[in-house]
Amino acid sequence: MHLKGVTNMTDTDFSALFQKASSGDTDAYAKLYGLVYRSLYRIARFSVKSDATAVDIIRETVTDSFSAAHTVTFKSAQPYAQWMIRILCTKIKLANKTESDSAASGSSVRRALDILKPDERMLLAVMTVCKCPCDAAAKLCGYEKEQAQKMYLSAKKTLDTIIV
Amino acid sequence: MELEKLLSDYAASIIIADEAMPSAVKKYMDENSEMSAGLFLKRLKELRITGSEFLELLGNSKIGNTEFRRIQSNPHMRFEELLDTLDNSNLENDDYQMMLAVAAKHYKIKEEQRKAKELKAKAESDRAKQLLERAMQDADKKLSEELPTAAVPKAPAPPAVPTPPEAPAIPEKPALPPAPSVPAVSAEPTVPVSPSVPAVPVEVEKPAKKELPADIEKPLEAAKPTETETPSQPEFPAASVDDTAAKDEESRKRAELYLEKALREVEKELGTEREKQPSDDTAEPEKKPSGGQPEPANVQIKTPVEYEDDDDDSVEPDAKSIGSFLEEICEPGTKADDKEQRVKRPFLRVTLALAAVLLCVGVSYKLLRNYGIIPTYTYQVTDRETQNIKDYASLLSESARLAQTVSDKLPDGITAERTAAYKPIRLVGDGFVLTVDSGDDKSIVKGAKLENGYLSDAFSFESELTDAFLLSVKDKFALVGKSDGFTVIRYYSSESISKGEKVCEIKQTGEYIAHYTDSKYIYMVSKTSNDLSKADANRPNTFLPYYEQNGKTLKVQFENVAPSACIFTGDYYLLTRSDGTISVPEVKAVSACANSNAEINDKGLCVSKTYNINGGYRTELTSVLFGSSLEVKSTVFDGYAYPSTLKLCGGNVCCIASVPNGAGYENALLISEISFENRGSSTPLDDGIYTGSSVCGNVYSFMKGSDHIFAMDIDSGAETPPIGTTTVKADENVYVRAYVEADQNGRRSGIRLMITDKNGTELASELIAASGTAQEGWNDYISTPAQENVLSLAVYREEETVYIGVPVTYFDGISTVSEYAFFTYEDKQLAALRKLSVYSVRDGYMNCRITEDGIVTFWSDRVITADKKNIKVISDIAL
Repeated sequence: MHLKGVTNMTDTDFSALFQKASSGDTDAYAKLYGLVYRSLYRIARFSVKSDATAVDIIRETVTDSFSAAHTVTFKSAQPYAQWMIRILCTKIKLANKTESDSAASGSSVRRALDILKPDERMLLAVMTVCKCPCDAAAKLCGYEKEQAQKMYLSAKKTLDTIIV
Repeated sequence: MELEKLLSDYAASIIIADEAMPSAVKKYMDENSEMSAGLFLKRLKELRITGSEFLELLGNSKIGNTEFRRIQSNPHMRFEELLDTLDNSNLENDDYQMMLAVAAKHYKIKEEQRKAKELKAKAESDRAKQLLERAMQDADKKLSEELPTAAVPKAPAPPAVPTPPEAPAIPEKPALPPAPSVPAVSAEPTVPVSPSVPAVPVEVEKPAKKELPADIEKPLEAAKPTETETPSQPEFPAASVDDTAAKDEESRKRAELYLEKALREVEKELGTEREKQPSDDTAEPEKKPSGGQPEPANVQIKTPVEYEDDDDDSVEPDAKSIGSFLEEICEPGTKADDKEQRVKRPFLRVTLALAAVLLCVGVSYKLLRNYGIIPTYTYQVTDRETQNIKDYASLLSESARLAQTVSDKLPDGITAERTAAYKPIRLVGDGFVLTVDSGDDKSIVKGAKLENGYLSDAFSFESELTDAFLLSVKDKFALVGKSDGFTVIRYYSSESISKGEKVCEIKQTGEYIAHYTDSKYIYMVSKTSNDLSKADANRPNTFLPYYEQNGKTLKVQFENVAPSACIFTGDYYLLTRSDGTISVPEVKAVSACANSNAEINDKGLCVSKTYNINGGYRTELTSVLFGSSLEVKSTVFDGYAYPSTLKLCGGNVCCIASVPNGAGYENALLISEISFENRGSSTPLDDGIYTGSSVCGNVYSFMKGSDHIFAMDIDSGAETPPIGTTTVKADENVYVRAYVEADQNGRRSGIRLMITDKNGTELASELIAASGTAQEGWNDYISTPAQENVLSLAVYREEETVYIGVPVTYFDGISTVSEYAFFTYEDKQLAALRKLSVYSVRDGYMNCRITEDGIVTFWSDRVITADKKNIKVISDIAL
């Protein structure tokens, strides 16, 4: 799986940077984060109803991944990005459990998205931002393939009815 | 396309918040990068600290005594549990940082010491090599001086690898023709024509050192052709050796004497420090000649010194175990401490030896018993106590009378702890799935309709019952819990359950003990204690248990109090049999005491009660049989029962007791029909305290002390391999077991699913590993709830196929993964199906039911149903 929208960097540079980040260098980790932050934030904001929640999710994702960086080894940016998105999805799931229902606002697309079930919204977010098919998104979100396909069809049906 | 474009445009239009920019996030990380327990442990593992060091670090921190003792006394603590313990302790960022700093300092010092030791060892090794070579050369020189040079072949030693330059040595062969050489050589008794003697210097000088002992010890074998020898070589030494064996022996001894002397000189030069070094390559020539020959003493003593010299003697055993645990959480390929490994090896050897001895004793014992040398005998049943009980009043007065003289105290060290009965909190019933979550003051029941695997119409309601669980019987569901000192059974019909409206309620006094359900009834057992001194003879409810049906209080009729040989307390087990209709439940009250235990199965309820009267112990077993009526049977024998060993195994009662043998008491396994109609059998057992038991199929397993487990096939009376509490019986000859598999260092490699027959012989097995999110797996953190609760292991047989669901949990570096791995077992083949995984189920609850209609899995607050052949998800709802 190759995620689109992830800034490229040579594998050698990436490995060196990741090694530094793994040893606790926040500067290095911020640079790694810089490779993926746009995609991460867009997935987060797409999936939740407020900017504040999205920022919280991003912070938790970065903190957790920084803590867990010792335990993994990546030689290129792509698997790192996938790893980050998996952590992000875990955080989004947790946030969606506690996020209060706020009045729908914003563009028609946003309002329609807010009507979807949180899991459906997150799946769509990953598919849209990463421009990947449902199966690949399911893997990143931690869903079974069949389960994700059902969610996608359900979400598509809802959105088709509302906004198209 | 339109929708995708709209969504894509929306995603692109999202403006990145300032707080999510890399610079802002870095600032946030710098300000909030507090050390957590997880990060602390991960950093520690990099520093390769030992268990003793870990405990020392914790002991010197401000961690509370409770948490410290918990970690210290639980060397096999799981990673998550350790994490939770540290998270819930009072340790903060600064404490973790300080401990890490100390650990880092230790690590640095240890690394320096290790490097210095390596350098020293290398220097000594080189020196030893030089000395040895020199000594060997001297020895060779002295030996050569004693031997006539003419008899020594100039190039007798065939090179290990054929090389053209040395080939000319072979032409000497004609000088020693095989047959004529015999008398020639024999005529020269001091001439060592054996190839072993000239081989000595060659062995030292050339890499092929190992040929030295082989030549000395087995000259004939050494002369045989090998892969590396030229075709012409074998005949040459073979001819000489074959004819001069006696002379060889003498010359060999002489060579050995020189060699031994040379070795002693080397040892002397190196002094005692040399002995402490681990054997290296240079030591090979010293050790090899000793094979099969008198070994030089200085060589023999080296190995043990390695262990005795370990400077980690002060480490406590449990500390070492925690060390192994820490090693468990280390990344694959790293070792916590070499010293620890060295200490483990002899320990393992001793353990294996003891296990072998135990096995031999077991086999011998079985043989002795089979041949009748150790007899199987029946135990004595004595007469009952005389109590004149004919009504409620006399029951109370007689009980009070014996309470003065009879005691229920067991010998020291024997406890009456019983294994808590399993309380199902998730239920797949007729058309419904139900869950119940209990809090301190209420329970919440949640459920949904289940039809062809599809879940719909979710509902929930609250109940004031606590510690609640769910049962189903016939067309009803029951919520069982406790309330105001009662054990309550609340029945619901299929129609009323979604509204939370009960159709019937039974309340019985006392704490819940056990239950059993069949297609018609719920059998519920509770235990009540009454103070006889406060009892009123006119009010039976003050000294007997009672119950309520739909708010109406009912007393236990006198005829429903089970007769007993000796009633001396106000303790009773109350058994009710109800079906959720308006019918009054059938009841029986069975006299008990503090050390009593009760077990229930489809045949009945059995209660054990031991008491001490007139200086001797007596035990009463009382059964209530589940027939059309609740018939009571009982028996009494002299001696005391180990309460936690009481079990019902089919239609038999099994129990370990200490019974009189004339001189004192001896342990015996007592087995009897539940009705006690025939005299039971008794099998003598070893001394010791028996602490627990379990039943799987017809195998009764029992435990002595904390770790000796034995088992017996109740049907045949033969000893069998113990079937652990992690085993589920699928049919008469298919048993399913799941357990954590670890290597000899304790490092986990996955969950082993094993299919065995009833004798424990493996039929098939499969290893389930963690599915990591990154390149490396996370088997170090893998575990299975089936080891703690075998009922989470789902087993279902349909015709010839056994469906199996194995619960697995692990930490994948990001979150806790809970997963059911499904398999089928058919024709002695295990086939892996798919897995159902759920992330971040923090409370860890997971359960699974495989039924005719499919699979229902429960995960904390989620229910997922799936097709059982393809594990295709059908429904997934949060309750």
